[in-house]
Amino acid sequence: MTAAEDRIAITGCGMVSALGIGAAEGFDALVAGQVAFAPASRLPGEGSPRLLVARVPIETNEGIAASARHRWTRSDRLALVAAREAWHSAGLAAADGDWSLVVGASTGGTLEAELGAVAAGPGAAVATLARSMVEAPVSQTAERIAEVLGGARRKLTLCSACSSGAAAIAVGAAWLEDGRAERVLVGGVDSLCLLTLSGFNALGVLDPVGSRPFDATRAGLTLGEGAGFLVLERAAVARARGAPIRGWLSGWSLAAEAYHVTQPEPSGTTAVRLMRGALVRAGLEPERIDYLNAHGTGTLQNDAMEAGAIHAFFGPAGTSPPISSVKGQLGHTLAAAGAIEAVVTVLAVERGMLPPTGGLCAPDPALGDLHHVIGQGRPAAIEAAMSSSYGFGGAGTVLVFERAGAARRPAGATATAGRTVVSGLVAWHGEARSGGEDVVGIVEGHTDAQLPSLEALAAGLSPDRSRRFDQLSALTTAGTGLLLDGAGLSPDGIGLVVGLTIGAVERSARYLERVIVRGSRLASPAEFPQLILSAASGNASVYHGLTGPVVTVSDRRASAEDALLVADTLVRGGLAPAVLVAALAVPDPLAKAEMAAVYPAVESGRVPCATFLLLEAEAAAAARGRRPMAVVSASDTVERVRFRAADLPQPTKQRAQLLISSPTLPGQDVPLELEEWAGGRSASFASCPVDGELGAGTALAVAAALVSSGAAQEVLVVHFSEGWVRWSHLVEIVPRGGTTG
Amino acid sequence: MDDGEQLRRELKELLVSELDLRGKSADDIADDLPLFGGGLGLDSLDALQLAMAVEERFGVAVPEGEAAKQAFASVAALAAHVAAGRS
Repeated sequence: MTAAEDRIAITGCGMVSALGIGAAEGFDALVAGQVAFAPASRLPGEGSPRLLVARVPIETNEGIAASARHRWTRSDRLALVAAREAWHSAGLAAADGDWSLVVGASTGGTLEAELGAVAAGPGAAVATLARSMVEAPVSQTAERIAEVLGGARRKLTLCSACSSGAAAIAVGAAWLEDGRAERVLVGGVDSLCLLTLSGFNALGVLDPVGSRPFDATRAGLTLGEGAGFLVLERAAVARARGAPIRGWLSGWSLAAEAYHVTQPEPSGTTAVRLMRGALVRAGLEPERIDYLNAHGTGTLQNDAMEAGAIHAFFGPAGTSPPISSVKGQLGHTLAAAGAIEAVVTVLAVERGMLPPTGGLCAPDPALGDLHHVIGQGRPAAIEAAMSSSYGFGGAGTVLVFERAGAARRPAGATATAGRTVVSGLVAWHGEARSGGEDVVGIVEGHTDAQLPSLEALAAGLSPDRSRRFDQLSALTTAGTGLLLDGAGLSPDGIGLVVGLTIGAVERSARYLERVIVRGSRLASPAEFPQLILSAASGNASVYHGLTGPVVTVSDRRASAEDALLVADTLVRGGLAPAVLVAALAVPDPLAKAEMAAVYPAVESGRVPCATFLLLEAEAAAAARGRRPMAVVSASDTVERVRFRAADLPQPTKQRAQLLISSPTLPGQDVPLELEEWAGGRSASFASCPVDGELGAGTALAVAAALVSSGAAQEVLVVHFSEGWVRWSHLVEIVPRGGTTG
Repeated sequence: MDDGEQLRRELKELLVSELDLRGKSADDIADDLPLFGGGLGLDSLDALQLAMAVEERFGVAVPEGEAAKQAFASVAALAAHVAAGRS
């Protein structure tokens, strides 16, 4: 394949925002300078303000079966509208081809949980909220899109706060680059809800007259909602089907500031590193960027950080490209923002039209001389453009786009990391399942029998720096520290991928109950940032100084495998030399009762377990003189209905083991053909030693330990659940010059 | 224990619980210890949380901006602000 055929083509765009339904309509409204802010319903409680919001002006059921409508959240609906637009604009039909889906999201079904709690009344609010959060996890939206469009090979839900949508695009791009996918549908969604409105209000960052990014009188952001999606394809695939190529995605970078849970790093060092990383990957110099779509929230701190970074990166005034932010017109759409802004940037490049910064009248002189677009959009020749996104916990992503007809240069940096190895392991499991002791015993050297309590974990963490940590954050931080110490790794540039089935259910329910029953004036500003799905990954990043890609993934019982898949993607894609994987299910009294109600087939309900693996580029481990535990030979998923045993990596060693990590659910029998997997070799079969929602994480730890100890030369971990099949294939490290059994 | 001392004690307990000051108790916080900057090492997020908690407990609003810095200078200053607001 030539370099040109290897490029990542943008073939479809979809967008829904307060400015309208459809990418073209939204972009036209942006260029015309329309502002979509309107007063929201008053927040609960006496003395609560009437906030401005950017609400999407639709209620749509298009494409949703009538019988299923009550189960669709507003996030699901917004996402489907934008995803379908992207899909159809790419000339694709339902169930067309082999494709993968990545959705960035944070609010999920929070709005519906709140409405249910208000209807249930004060006495039942907490239980209603908890039930709703367990029943409709944030990963539901990806399930819905996969179900309606059909034929998805992979689906992934990712949260890195306000950079989620952009991070989802970057992960999809990495799959195209490393050959895991030929076509991806990637984007983000969030819907307005009381949680975010009351939380940002409590933080004092909502501008009472509407967001005015980079203005001298700016006073905060305005919350919005919406969704943005792109269809990305390998150029050869797009050309083979005659799809129109609307632009190229040529660069991406992910990194974390590791500075503070809500405050941006004032120096802008990480923002500069992100812009540089994305341009190096694109093979472009800074002066080739003709437009910068800024994060530009309108808060004092964000805009100051960003302006400083732009000056530092692009040099003195006059050399920086035109910049603008959409957030003064369609609001800050949180997890959707990076994806909506990617769509806007693609259209800006395609049409040669710079969108303005709405609300900006008098640029803040303290931000230096930036090249703003004020009032309305204006035509410009744009060969290449960049879009920046930053979020709570300091997670950022920068994307670089080029015009479809842009002259081809020598290729930029591409994935060069080679194989990924497992080079560290820490695992805790709660109640070992009977019959699994023989397997569990193998990892004894690496595990503790019980999940440590918050008190025990807190004792090992700096009290000043772990304030407000719950057990999930404390465990993530403690496990991260153990892995870093054990591996002798500096945290600089190291990534973290946390896999969770659900977030902080009890904590969120209690926060919301307080707001609903007692009023938004009592919303806790310190509590709010801890409720987002990515809080634990953000906290661990800030605590340890992890400055690589930091994200949380969620996919019900498969969250452990998804975390391994994303970490492997980041390492192979050269986005971090090493990435920690953490798969956690911690006791949450409210969630345990609700999980048992929602998943009655799992007798044990919510079994606490935590698995930490260190994934590293093989060359990086070797350079540190480390002998890795195992090679990650494959890590992938497919829909159950499309699964064929032949899809699985086949064993090549004498001592091969198949480990079924599914919980034993009725009606989900392990297919007989799996028994043929090892052929005539001395393979053994075992089921997961730990049941419960993330027992699959423990199975991954067991597999790494089996291979590392020599008990097996290769282990294939297979997991059947919720209509999907996941597998992870770990293989022994063969010393240079050695033989392969 | 006079009213002033009682109020300062309540505020210290509020600080420890609301700001999740792990490993600290009310006894560790002197009346004149600076709450922000050095001293207790609190940040802007703590200031917002403390303002909300003081309003909830004592029904006294804490101002924003420069006036907040004065009110939040120490437990003694905060107690004076609360006492003035309640009278």
